[in-house]
Amino acid sequence: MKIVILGAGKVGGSLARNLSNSDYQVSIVDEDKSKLSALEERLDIMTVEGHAAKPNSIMRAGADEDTIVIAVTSNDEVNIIACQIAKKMFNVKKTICRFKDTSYLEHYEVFGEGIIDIPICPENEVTSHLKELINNPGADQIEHFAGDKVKLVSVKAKKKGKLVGRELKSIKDDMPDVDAYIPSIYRKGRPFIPDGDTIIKENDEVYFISSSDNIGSIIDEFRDHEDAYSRIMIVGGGRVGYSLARDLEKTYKVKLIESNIDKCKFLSKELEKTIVLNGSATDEELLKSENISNIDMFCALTDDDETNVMSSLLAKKMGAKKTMIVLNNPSYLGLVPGFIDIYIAPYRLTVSSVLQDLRESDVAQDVMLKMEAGAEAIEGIVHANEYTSKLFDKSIKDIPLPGGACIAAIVRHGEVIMPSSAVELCLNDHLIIFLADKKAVSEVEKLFKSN
Amino acid sequence: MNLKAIINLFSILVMFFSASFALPIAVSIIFKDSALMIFIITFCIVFGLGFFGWLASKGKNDELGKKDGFIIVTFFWLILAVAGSIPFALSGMSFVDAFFESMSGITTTGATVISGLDDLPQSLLFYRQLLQWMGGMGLIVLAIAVMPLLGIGGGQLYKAEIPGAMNDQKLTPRMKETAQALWAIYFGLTVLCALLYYIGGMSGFDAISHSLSTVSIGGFSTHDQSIGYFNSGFIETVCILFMVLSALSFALHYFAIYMRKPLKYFADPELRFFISILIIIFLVSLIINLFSKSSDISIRELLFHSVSIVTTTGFSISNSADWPISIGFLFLLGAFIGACSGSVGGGIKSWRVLIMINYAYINLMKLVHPNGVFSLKIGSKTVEEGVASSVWGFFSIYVISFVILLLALLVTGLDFESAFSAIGACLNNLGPGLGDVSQTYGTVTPFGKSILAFAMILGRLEIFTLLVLFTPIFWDK
Repeated sequence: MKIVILGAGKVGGSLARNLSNSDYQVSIVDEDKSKLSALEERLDIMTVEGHAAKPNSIMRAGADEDTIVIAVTSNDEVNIIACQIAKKMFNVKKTICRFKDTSYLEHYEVFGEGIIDIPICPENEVTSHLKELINNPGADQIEHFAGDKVKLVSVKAKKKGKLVGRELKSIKDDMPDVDAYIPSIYRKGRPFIPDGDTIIKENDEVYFISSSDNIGSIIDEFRDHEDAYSRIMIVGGGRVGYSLARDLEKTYKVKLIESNIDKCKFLSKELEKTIVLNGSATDEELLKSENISNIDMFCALTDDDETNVMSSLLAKKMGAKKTMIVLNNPSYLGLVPGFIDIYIAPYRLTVSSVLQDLRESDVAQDVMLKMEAGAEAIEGIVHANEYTSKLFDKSIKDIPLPGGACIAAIVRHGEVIMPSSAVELCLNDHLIIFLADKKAVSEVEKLFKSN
Repeated sequence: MNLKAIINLFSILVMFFSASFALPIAVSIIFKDSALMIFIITFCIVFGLGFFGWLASKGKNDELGKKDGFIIVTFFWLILAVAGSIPFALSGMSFVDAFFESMSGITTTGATVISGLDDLPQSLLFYRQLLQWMGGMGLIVLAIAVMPLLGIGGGQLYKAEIPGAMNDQKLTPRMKETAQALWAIYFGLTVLCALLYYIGGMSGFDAISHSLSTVSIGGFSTHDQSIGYFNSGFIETVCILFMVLSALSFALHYFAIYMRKPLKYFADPELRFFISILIIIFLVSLIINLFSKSSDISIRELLFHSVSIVTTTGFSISNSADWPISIGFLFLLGAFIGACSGSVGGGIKSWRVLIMINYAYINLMKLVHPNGVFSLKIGSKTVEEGVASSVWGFFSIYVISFVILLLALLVTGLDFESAFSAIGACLNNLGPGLGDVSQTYGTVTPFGKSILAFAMILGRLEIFTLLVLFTPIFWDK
């Protein structure tokens, strides 16, 4: 299938990278030649130099009835017009349109019926992800699978947790009604697959999968019920920082640091309770005068990885309880183990949501869990049937999986099923597979292919 | 300057004004009182002057400019006050007394030099009430509809200061429609108020007379005892209700009635501030009353007087001269805050006070967070800092004017308490003061009365519009 990506910025680039790896014919359009050549060197894609909303460029990118157009330039209007052109002139199969401005997002159908098939808003996704982490203190990572039905959560076991020092199976005694599956535990940085007799120890990093409603109570099993955060400091008043502050300011005490004075003025007008501070987040004096040691959660959300890493190091050193950053370049993480509690790779979220929307794909989601260790979780959709695949008519326990991989949950017709030996595969099942090592990804992906 | 056009405009205005004498003439005929000739003579003088001026200035006129607007607005009150003083002068009052009374009426202040109201001819009493009502209407039409159009004075201040209420967004696209709508609201409130007074037991004459001065936040009464004459809880309740309604922004009434958005009342930060100030002042007066041993003021009296004075109306239901000075002073402070902007009430206006308080709060926050960037917000709307500093500028001119006028009044020999409250009451278009002036201003010297009349027009024109006429640069060609 052909995919035309309009805009070779951060979002477009990471989409191109991911999609070109999975058997799509990807072409990418941008006005900036240097961006295109950088992508072309590394990826097996076609590049077209031209304006994203010009019929000519879309034509040269090869749009036809079998094409999916993904308009992800940083300009909403360009994206909208590009989708209109693609649909009306080239009759493309599907359009995905990126919106920065939520006021368009709310009314995207006015641009024409069937013009924009899937609206996406990367900033919104990042914001809601951050918000979820802040609203669930204790969780270091929360990933959604199968359209929010199932969540994979990582939590660090603490001394006072009810389950610490006990066997894993006793979780059933505490919460008989809750179904949770624990595919992996990291102990001292090394993963292993636990069974019912595994005894949870302090500082274990536990990954569990459960339906969305239960995650709060499961987190409480592993650590003393943590007080909700109350003081949040946000660095960076961009779109993400602003909307996070706006969403949080009613329930939390929010301070926001932004270095651009005009942006500060805008923020102070738009935000009601948030205290907007003008200055650099790496300014020790500023952090000190704003009582950094009382901050429960320090969120560094600028566009600049270095600022995010450095400011959160400084904040942590000066007493901030937890730090959370957005990071485009994961290689920084390994440099400063322990200083950054939570990180988010912002455009990965967009990529995975686009992948989710391209339902034809066998692998709907591919989520990195521990960047430095290379653990991944994959959501795969079973498109094969008993005639095309040899996996059928077998209990899922007998499915040959590579080492370190296990099926963590099955979502069938919207219901979560915990994997047990009695379950057999079915068409359109979503399998959530946990991989301790991402090298096994391609082997696992093969399982979903119908050949 | 466009003298001919201005004279033309005022001539027409004065002719219209002369038509209003038809009402007191009618009252005089109905009650067969002694003042019939007074009003007929006045009508002839005023109409004659207007007609003569109109003849003289007839013809092609240039358009009016911004500077003309200031002159028109100021002289609107001045000329009407002079024309309005003729009946009082003809009835035997001195010129200063007549001018004071007329100015007090037309600026909806409600301070009076007359004692023995009950013995006056009905037509003259009715005429006083009518003056206030017309003054209120003039303010509504001028300040709310005309002044923003000319981009001057109080209107300009309104325009910059009240986002969302009416001023960054005109009520209707055409000024004429806006003026009509506001006039209809004003008239409707008056009729409703008169009806309720009548139901409450007033005579038809009293009901109409009092509704005219209630809705205009004036405070003139046809009896020396004011509302207290009727001694009726119902009438007092109606009075309180209509004083509060008239002290609210007429733009809110407009939205509630014409746009069917009554919820705007509850969302308006100025209204909420105004009501809280009312409640706080009432509660504090209750507490003061509780702790002062000698006084025996009833809750009913405190409630009525606090509303009457904070809305800058000036009705009373009992003699407050012997109340603790602290309560009188507290109420006077409330009158300084005054009614809502866009109403007919006086004072600094709740909106400005709200801006000043918020601005002060922001400055406090800046001390705590040196790097903080704060925006001045009223409710959820942002107010530019320039507006805040112009409001502070307004406030300082207000205070300076107050102090200078107070000094001038002290020179006339009035004691401090009376002088302080007299200037406060006139500058805020309130009416009765404390001490010697708690009932009438009859004891003040003629010079003192002139100062007070000046204070009234200064307060009514929100100071800047009038003061700008005193700057040399205004008259520069």
